[in-house]
Amino acid sequence: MARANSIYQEDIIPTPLRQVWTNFISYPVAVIGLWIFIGFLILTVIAPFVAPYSPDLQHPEALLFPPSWHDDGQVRFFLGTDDLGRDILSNLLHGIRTTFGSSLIITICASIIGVFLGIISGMSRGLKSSILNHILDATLAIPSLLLAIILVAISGQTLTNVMIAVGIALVPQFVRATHTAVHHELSREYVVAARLDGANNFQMFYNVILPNILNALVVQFTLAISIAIIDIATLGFLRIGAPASTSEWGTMLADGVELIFIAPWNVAFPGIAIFMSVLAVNFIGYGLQRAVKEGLG
Amino acid sequence: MWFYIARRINLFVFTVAVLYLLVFLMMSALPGDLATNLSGVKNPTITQTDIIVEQYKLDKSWINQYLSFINQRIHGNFGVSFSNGSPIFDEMLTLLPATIELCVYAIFIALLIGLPLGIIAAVYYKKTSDSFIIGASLVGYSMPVFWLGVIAIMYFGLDLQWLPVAGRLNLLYQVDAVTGFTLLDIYLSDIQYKNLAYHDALAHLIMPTLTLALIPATVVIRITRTSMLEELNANYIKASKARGVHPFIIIFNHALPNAIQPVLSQISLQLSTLLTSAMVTEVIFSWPGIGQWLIQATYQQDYPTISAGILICAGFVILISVATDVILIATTPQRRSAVHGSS
Amino acid sequence: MLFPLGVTLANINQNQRIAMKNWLNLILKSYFFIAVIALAGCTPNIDNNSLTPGIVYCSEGDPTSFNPQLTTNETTTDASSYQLYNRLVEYSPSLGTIVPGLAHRWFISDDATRYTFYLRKNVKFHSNDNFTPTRDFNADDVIFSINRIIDSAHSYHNISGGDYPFFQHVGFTDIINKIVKVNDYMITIHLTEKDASFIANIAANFMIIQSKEYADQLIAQDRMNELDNVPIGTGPFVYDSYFHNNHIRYKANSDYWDGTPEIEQLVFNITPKSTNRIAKLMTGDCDVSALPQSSEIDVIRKNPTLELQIQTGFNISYLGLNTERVPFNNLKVRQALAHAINKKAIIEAVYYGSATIADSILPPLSWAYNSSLKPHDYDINRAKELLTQAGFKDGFTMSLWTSPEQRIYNPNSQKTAELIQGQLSLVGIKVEIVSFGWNIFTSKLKDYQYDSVLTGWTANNDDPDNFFRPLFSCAALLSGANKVNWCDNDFDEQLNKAIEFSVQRKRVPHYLKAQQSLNQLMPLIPIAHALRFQVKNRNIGGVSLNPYGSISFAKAYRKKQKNKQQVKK
Repeated sequence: MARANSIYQEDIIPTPLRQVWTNFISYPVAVIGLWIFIGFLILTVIAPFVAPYSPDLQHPEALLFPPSWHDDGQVRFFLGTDDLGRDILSNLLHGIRTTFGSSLIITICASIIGVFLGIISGMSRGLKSSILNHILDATLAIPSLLLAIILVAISGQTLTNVMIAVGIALVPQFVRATHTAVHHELSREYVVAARLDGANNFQMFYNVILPNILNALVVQFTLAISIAIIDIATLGFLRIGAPASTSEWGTMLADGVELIFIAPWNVAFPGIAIFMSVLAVNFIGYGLQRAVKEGLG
Repeated sequence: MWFYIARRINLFVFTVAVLYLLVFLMMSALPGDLATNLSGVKNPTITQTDIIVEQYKLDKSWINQYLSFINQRIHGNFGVSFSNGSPIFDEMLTLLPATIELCVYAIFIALLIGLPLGIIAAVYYKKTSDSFIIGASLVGYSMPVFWLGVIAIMYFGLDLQWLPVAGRLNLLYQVDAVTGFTLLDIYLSDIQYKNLAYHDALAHLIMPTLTLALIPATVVIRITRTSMLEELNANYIKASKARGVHPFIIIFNHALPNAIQPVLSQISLQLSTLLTSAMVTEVIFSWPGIGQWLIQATYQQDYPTISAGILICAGFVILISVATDVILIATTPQRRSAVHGSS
Repeated sequence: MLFPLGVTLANINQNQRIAMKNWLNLILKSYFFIAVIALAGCTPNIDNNSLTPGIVYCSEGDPTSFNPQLTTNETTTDASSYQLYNRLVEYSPSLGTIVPGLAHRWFISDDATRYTFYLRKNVKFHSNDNFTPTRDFNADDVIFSINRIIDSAHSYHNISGGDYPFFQHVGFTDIINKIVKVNDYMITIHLTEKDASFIANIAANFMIIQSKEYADQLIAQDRMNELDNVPIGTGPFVYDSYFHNNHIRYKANSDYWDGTPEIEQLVFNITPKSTNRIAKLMTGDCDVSALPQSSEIDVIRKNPTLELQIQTGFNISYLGLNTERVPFNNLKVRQALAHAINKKAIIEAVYYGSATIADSILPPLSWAYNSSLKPHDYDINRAKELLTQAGFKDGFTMSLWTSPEQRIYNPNSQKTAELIQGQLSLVGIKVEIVSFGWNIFTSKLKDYQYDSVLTGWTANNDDPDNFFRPLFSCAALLSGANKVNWCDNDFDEQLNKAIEFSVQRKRVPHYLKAQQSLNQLMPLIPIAHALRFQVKNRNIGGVSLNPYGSISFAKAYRKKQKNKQQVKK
């Protein structure tokens, strides 16, 4: 990367993040993922304004209409209707908020808490670290879905509680990822050098360790989003998540299963929505992972 | 070596103790009476209450309660179920083999599919087949298990009518559950139509196992690929290449045995995810295992059962991961120092 | 500097690797070998098990016990009433009358207060690992089975909870004065007053006869709980095993007094989801399936191997309003709700037309049906008007409790609740749907902490009393079955007067009045009378459906398919 207008040939070494980004956008898959992701993100914001109907609005005269391209379909119900005559497209659009939007939010919350705890446990040593480690091992051994189930059982089945439960179930994974990354960095020589230079704990963390673990955290973050989406949808599908008649993709799919013989589109569309959002996130995650790896060497 | 194994076992005991503590705290947080939640006895008589208080030391401090909670559970007293009043431990014993059976076959198939594909991807690194395999594994990994299961039922079960869609065996075959593993039980039983029963059992197995195997398979592909790449770039491989060893031999005799270890240890880390998918798969295919039982228990707000399920699932995950660790330590000395260093 | 070190490390590793290589190789090879074998064995193939003479019935849930006396839950009666037990007299669905059961003859005194039963001889009870009967069925067993219910001091009364809902509804304890054992094969039941519905109640699914000898043995062994969970009866099938949430297995009773069943075994495959039941039926895992969803009826009709059985049902699905709570203590609000609910839409969306709109609690087929009731038509404006009059111009928030489990009277309560939610939102009423699993649902209902409840009732016999007394009488309020929290003395009086007569003609006017008062006071909004469906494979015959709930496999058989057997062999 030589500057054209300078007299001397000089190399500008891009910052690690910039390096990762350049790598990242060179993978077509990752870029596709990013675009889908941005599309979903925009829809999350504008969903209520573009949805043709309110998600709960029942059309008693239009039960189980197939999608519009089918012979019996109507354009006003673009993706057809369910067994109560509710527009599937509107429900899916609102579902973006409950399933996709909230998984973003809870992942952000979980990452803040998890990274904070992870740093504390990662920077600590000896007995304290060992105890924290065992607690982590124990929580991590509980499948996240199971953890969410029991948290919902404790707090009651409302949408907010389900989100919080899924979020809490994500925290240990963040703690573990941060802990490992911090621990890994702490044993490096440049950290020892910084310590010898007289850096205090905060400086050590902020200036020395954080820039180097950021990559790992970003990867973990995308992974966590996909887990959150799947967990929310799975809970909804098992009918222990979002309460019935919420526009949530998993719940919609579970409702659709009862109609699978006569109206398979009720299963197909929510499934595609979940699949697409998870796929986009995974594409991005994969791109990041590769970009980070290649960026380092 | 024994030192490291002892260390692992020590860690196992400690982690399980923490797990019990977590579950015990959850039990206290759950709505309802702690005595009822722990024992599962609804509306106990006075003598029953006395026994429960005595068993769980409910009149003592919480540390005592916690210790006696562990004590009861370790001795196989998981209380009775809210919904039907039968001992939870006995129920678990009959259900656990079904889940293990499903998971073991799924891991088996995941390795069967994942290893070769991962190797191919690594060998043809950055070629078309590599991108294709990686792309496919990403797509597979993004597939929600429940959606996949439903589609499989729809297509292979109902449209084509190739495969049965629910249960482990047609119930007309009266196979006594000796081991709990269908195929073994059929072998041990003395029913008249064994061959038909084998066929039926296998047909019932295909769809749930394949559905469950998809995600682990994609994980195996990616881990195999990564660790194979590392091995293929190692100096000893380059040396072999320079010596003119046949590429086939390099891959299968040199690189693969080394590359497979990280795969195994990663699979043990994936176990908790696998159990989550197994729960969903069991519900979709009406597989009479722990997962389906747990979900039913949630519908019934059957707290003793839920807690027992958590203990058994998480305990199982911890046990397997420690066991894998111990096996790997026992077979590969260089892991010992690594393990020592990172924790 | 690092280079030589690297070489040394590589050398060390190399040695270890060679050592490891062999066993890993071996494992890998054997693993591929097994995999190939396993795959070769897995050729997709479905067999219909025509070789094993049995029938698999896909039932909709777990029974709560194996004693129907303890419940009004249809799943429990299905799994026990007609499979394991007999009653003194039976209701015959084909004849529509009461026919002999364990009593081969009975006699009612002129004042209809003394019922004498002549019991069948040589009827054997089942035996199991723990119990072998030493004597035949006799009067002691009948007295034991009835006394257990009516005598609260009976040693078995409080075993399994001590609740006998059906018998509490019909007031068994009060109506039975005493039971006299004339001899071993003859008993007389004395009633305190005339009760024209008594013989129908004796024939109800719930009034089964258990073995006193078995009960006594269990007392001696201190295993009294087993009486209802490891059942011994006189019925066509013997209980073999029960795997919770999975299946129940029965074996044919070779000593059955009414002829050994043709099938050797009967299996209840417990499958809560209707979609799964149909799927199992299509793939041959089940032969008969309970309660298909109305939405699946078309698919079933199109499938050449399946056969749909339809039975007009004596049932009602209704929205019960908690009349003791604000705002439903206000008659105008209740009427407003009746006008705001579009029953026709519910019948189309939930029942797919397989039900009739209910105006009264009684189905139109009943001889006491009041056809002159003024129906509350769907009329949003009228509903809003009534709400305004009642002072709820801006609507209100109400809770609606339901259970997602499928019942004959309502194939999909959850969906019905959502429809009602949508319909009521049009008049400004916000509905919060609360749903519980069936067991929790029934236990929580007893506290009356709800505003409204979506539930229903399947009649146990063709007596109209069976619709009114268990659901809306003051007595039912005490037993917790009166879900509308309502007690009206005039209404109760009509019911009591009606059962004093044994002639239908004289009873009718009272029932007409009772329906009239329900229609006026609106403690509930009747929604639909559903048809009862059942699907079976075409090669199964003889499965009888009872309009009053419960299914019997006593005469079931599998049609022979000879060519298929030869292929299999």
